[in-house]
Amino acid sequence: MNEIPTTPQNTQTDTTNLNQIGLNPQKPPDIPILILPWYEKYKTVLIIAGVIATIVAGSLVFQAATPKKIVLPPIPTPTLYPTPTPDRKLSPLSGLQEFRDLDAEVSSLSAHLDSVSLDDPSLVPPTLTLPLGFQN
Amino acid sequence: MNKILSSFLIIPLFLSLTPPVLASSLQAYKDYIYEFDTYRTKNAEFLVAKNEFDKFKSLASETAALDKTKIMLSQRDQLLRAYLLLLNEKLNETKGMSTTDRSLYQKLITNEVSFLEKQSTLVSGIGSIQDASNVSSQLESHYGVLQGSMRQTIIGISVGVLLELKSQFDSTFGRTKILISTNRGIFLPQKQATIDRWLLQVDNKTTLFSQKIDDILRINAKFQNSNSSSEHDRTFQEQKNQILEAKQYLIEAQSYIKEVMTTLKYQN
Repeated sequence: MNEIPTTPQNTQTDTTNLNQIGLNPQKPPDIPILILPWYEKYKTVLIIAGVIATIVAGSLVFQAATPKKIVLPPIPTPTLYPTPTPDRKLSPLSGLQEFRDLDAEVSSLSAHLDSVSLDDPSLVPPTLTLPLGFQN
Repeated sequence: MNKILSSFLIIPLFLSLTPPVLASSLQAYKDYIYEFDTYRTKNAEFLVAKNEFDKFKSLASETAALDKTKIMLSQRDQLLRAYLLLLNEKLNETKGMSTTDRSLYQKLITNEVSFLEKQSTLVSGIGSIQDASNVSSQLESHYGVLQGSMRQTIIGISVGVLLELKSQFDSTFGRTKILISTNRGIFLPQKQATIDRWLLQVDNKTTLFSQKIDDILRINAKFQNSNSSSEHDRTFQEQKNQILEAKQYLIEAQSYIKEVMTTLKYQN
């Protein structure tokens, strides 16, 4: 776009050489040098960068302004046929009266063990103020 | 002759009609609560009279303070005796405790009751504020021993309850083992191995339970060797934790028996 101007030193050298061989060369006209500001050079890049920055900033503002969606836990679809429990066959032993009595006893003792309290609140010793505290 | 025969018939009949004395520890607890309430009242009155005496130092305030002090000291002894009586009744009702242990704790209680009776005698002879302070200081210096005896007995009662539970557990476990051994032929080898593993687990837990009880009883004897209140508190708390751990072992052993029962109940 911009031509690089020839330097005056080169022109002078050439003229001297032409004079030496007996020719009268025509002096070329001076070309004005146009110095552009630095941003003109990167104009396109700056425009693209500005567009990108606007898009990014806009998306951030939009994201911040938009209320967050509440994600509800998925509700399982009720099935008409629940998962069947495994079919366990009772042993012949379970039919015995002795076994049934023992089973009841085990259950009863388990419940008793869970419920019994070893820390009897009625046995908390009394709190006393022992020293009389008379001033001498 | 007829009169003698009829008396033999009537007296048992009469005795059978009289209501049995049930829950003597409940009555002892009611008495203890009553004595505690009375003590609180008497102590509050004593504090008012003492403050007045400290403030005015008059003869009237001294007489009133002395009266209130004597009443309060007497009530304090009575409260402690009511509490010891409650402990004694609880000891009698705890079935799991061995006779030796029960006698040991009852001996401790008897010693403390006799100390308090002597205190009561001294209280009745108090003639001045200084006398009252001297009598009170006797209980103060003895209180570490008294507190140790009380706490030792409380732990003893808790251990007794645990041993009673253990006795019931042993009975159930024994019946379970008999049931298994009599029906051993009907189980498949794999099932028998599973049952044996559960039984082994039960044995392990009961062993741990017994060791824990031994530890508790060993530590319980420490109360006799120390008068320090802070050490009593620490030992007491330590033992209470160990009692809970022992109970946990028993619960776990019982849960393994339940597993055995479930294994026995089903074929597969």
